[in-house]
Amino acid sequence: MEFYLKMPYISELLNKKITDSSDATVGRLEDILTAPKEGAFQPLEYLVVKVKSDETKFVPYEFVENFNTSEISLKNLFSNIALSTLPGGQYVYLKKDVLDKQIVDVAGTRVVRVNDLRIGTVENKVCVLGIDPSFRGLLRRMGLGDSVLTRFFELKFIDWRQAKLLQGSMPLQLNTAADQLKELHPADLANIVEDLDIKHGSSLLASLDSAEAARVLEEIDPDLQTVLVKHLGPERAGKILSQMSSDEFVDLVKTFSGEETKEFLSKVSTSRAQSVQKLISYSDNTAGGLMTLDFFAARPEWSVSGAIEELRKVSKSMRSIVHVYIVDESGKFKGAVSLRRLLLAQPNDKISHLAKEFAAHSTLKPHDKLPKVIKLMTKYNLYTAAVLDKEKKLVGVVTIDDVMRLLAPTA
Amino acid sequence: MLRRLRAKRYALIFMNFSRLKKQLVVFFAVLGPGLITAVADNDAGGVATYTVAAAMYGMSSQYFVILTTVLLAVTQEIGARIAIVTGSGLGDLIREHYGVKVAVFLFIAYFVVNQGVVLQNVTGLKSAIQLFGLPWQPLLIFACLLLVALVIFLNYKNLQRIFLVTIVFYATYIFSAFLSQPDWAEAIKRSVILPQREFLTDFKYWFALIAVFGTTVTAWGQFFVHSYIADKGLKPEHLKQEKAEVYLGAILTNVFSWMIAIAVTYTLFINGTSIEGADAAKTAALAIRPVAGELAYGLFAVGLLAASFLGLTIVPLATAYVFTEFFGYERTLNASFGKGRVFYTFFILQIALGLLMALIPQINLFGLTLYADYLNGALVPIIFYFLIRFSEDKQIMGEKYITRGFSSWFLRLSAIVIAFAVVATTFGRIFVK
Repeated sequence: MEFYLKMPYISELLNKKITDSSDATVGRLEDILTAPKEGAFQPLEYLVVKVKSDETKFVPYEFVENFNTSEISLKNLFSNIALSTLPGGQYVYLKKDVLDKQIVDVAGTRVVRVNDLRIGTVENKVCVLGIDPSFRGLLRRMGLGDSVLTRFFELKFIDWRQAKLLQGSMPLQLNTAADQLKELHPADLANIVEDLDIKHGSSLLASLDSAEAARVLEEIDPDLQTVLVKHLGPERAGKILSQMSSDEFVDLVKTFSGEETKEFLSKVSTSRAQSVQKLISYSDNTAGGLMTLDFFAARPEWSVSGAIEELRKVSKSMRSIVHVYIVDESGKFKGAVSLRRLLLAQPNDKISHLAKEFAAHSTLKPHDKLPKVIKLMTKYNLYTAAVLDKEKKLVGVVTIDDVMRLLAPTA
Repeated sequence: MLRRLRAKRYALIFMNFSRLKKQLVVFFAVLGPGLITAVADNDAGGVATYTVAAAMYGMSSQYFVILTTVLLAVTQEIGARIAIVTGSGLGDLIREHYGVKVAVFLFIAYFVVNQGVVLQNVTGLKSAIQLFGLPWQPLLIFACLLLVALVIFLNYKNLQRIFLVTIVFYATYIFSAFLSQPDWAEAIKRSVILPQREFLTDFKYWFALIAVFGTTVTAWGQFFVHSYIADKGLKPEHLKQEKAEVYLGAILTNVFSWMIAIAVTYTLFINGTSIEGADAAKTAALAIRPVAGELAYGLFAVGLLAASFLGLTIVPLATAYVFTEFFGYERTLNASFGKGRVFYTFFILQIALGLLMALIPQINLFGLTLYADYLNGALVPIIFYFLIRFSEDKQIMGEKYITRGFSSWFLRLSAIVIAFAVVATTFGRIFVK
C-alpha cells in the first residue's frame, strides 16, 4: 500500500543514513538541491551526501530508490553514481538557503520563518510542495513532531510556487501580500494526506477548518476517504462531512455499514441527512447515484437581478454553479439558464424568458445508466444535466466532473 | 604669493569645518541605539547594585570603572558593527546559522532573565513613587499602561526622543553627587588609582567589585543594541559615527554610575550607614535626606524614576525584538499594532507579568531577581561566543568589516574576563547581597 509510506518533511530526512544498492551505508543526507525556478513545483535534483566530516558528494535524484522517513536508498552502487563536483547550473540548497530563512511578502513585511519544508509527489516527480511556517513545524524540528502538544496548533503550508528565492542570505520573498497568502490548493493538500499514514493524515485533516477539510477530503482517493473518516470517528468527522458536497458525501456513506451510516448521519445536520438518505437509494452507476443535490433553483417569475442577488447569498455553500435551474412552486422543472445568458440579460428581464426551450430528451431520469448519461451529455454538449423524477420534478443535477471521475478514476 | 597661501589656508580651515559639520549632522542622525542601550544598562537593578556597593566600600567600589567602560564599549561596538553590516538582528543570525533548537532554548532562558530585570524595574518604579509619598498601587498600574500606550502609538522617532530625554534625567545623579560635597581628589584616587588598603584583603570587597562590573554587561543589552540598529536601518557609511555613539554611551553610563557612587559614598559610607535588600535605592534615598537635604533626596528619587522607566521600556522591547527575530515575525517600532501584533504582544506580556508579581505582596522579589541575575551570568558568555563567531565570519561580515588582529584577540580576552566575572558575580552576590 503506497500511502503507508510516509512522504516526508525535510526535517525528517536531513542527517538520515543513505544506503546504496549493496546495502552499504554510504553517508548521511546533508542537503537537497533543486532548481531555483519560480512559479512551479521544481523536482529535486541532487542529494548532498556527507561521506566524511569534511567530504561531501552529490547524487542525482534519478538514482534514488526510496526517499521516505524510514529509509533513503539508492538504485546503484554509490561509487558509480556519486559526483564530486556539481555540473554547471543554478541550484537552491534547501537546507542552507531556505530552511530557517526569513519569509517576507511583496511589501517586505516579515511574515514568518521557514520552519520546515514539505516534500511530495507532483506528476510523478518528487518536489518541494510547501513551506511550513507553523508552530507545528517548529515543534517537529525540536523533535516533538508526534507529541500531544502538536494537536493544539494548526498545520499550515504556503504554496512553494509563490516563493521567490533571492540571492545570498536574503530572505525568501512571496509573490503576494501577507494577508492574501494563498495556501496549498485542496488537491495538493489531498496529495499530502494520501502520502501520510492514517494517523498523521487524519490529524492533518482535523487540523484544517471544516470547510477546507471537506474540500480536501473530496479530492482524496475514495478508499482512503472511508478509512480516514472512520479513523476520525463520527464526532470529529461530522463537521467535515456537513461541509462536503452531497454527492461526494453519499458516495462515502455508501461504503459504510448500516450501523455506521446511522451513526455518522446523526452527527450531520438534519436537512443534509435527509437528502443523503434519498440519494443512497440510487445505485452508483446511474444518474441518481452520480447527481448532486447542490444546485441553484430559481422561480420562473424572478427577475434577472433578483436571481443574481439570490445567487450571491447562496453561492458560498455550493461547490460550483454552471446553470440556474428554473423550478415552479410544485417543484416541476421549467428549464435551465446558463450563467452566460444570465450575465448578458437585462436586469429586469424575467428568468422564464431566458430559459432554453424545455426539451424532455435532454434531461435524465434517476435510473438512467452511465452510458446513457454520457451519451446524452456528449450529444447535447452539456456541462450539467438535470435529473427529473416521474412527475417532472427536479431531484438533482449531474455535472460533467462527476462523470469524468468515473471515466478516469486514477486522476 | 603670501596672499594665495593664506587664502589656501582659510579654504582648508573652511573645508575642515564643513566636513566637521557634516559629520556632526550624521552623528545626530545615528544617535540613539548606542547611547540608549548603554545608559539603560544603569537600570533600577544597576542603581541598586551601585548603591549597596558604595554604601559598603565607598569610592573603592568603583575601582573597575575604567575596565567596565572599555569592555562595554568594545562589546557594544561589535554588536553595532554586525547589525550595520548584516542589517539583521542577533536573533536573526543565530536562528539562521544555528537552527531551531538553539533558538528555542536560548529564547526561554532569555525570556526568564529579562522577566527578572523587568521585575527589578517595576520594583524600582514602585520605590520611586513611594519616595514621592504617593499611593503606589494605582500609580504603578497607570505608569505601566502609559508606557504600553507610548510604545504602541508612538512611531520610532518620537519614542526615541522620549528615551533620549529620559537619559537627561540621569543627570540628577550628577547634581546629587555635587550636593553631597564630595572630596573629588580622594574619589578619583580611590576609584582609579588605589582602593582603600584595608579592603584589598576583604574577600567580600572583590565580589562587590565584580557585581558592579557585571551589572553593566547584560544579555539583553547585547541583543537590544543589535536589533535597535537593524530596526533603525543604519548603513555601513554610518559605521564611524555609530562607533563614536557607542563609545559615548559607554562613557556616559559609567560617569552616571560613578556619580551615583559619589552621592552614596559622601552621605552614607562616610557616616557608616549600610543598606541592603531589594529596596536598596529607596533605603539609600531615605538615608541621604537627613545628611544632604531635601533637594538631594528629590534628585535621587527622580534619577531612580528615570532609570526604572527606561529599563521597564527597553528590556521588554529587547525581549519582543528577539522573539520576532528568532521566529520571523514583523519586528519594528514603526508597525501598527495589527501588523506587529506578535512584537507588541511580547512587550505587553513582560510588563503585565512584572506588574502582576509586584502587586502580589507575598512574592519575594529580591530572591526572584537574584535568580534572574544568575541566569544572566550564564547567558552573557554564550552571547559573546555568538558575537565572536559572527563578527569574524567573512561570509557574514565581508572581508572589510570582520574583527581581526589585535581587536580580535582583545574581544576573546574580554569575553573570557566577562564570562569569568559574571559567573563569579553570581556566586559573589550570595555573599555580598
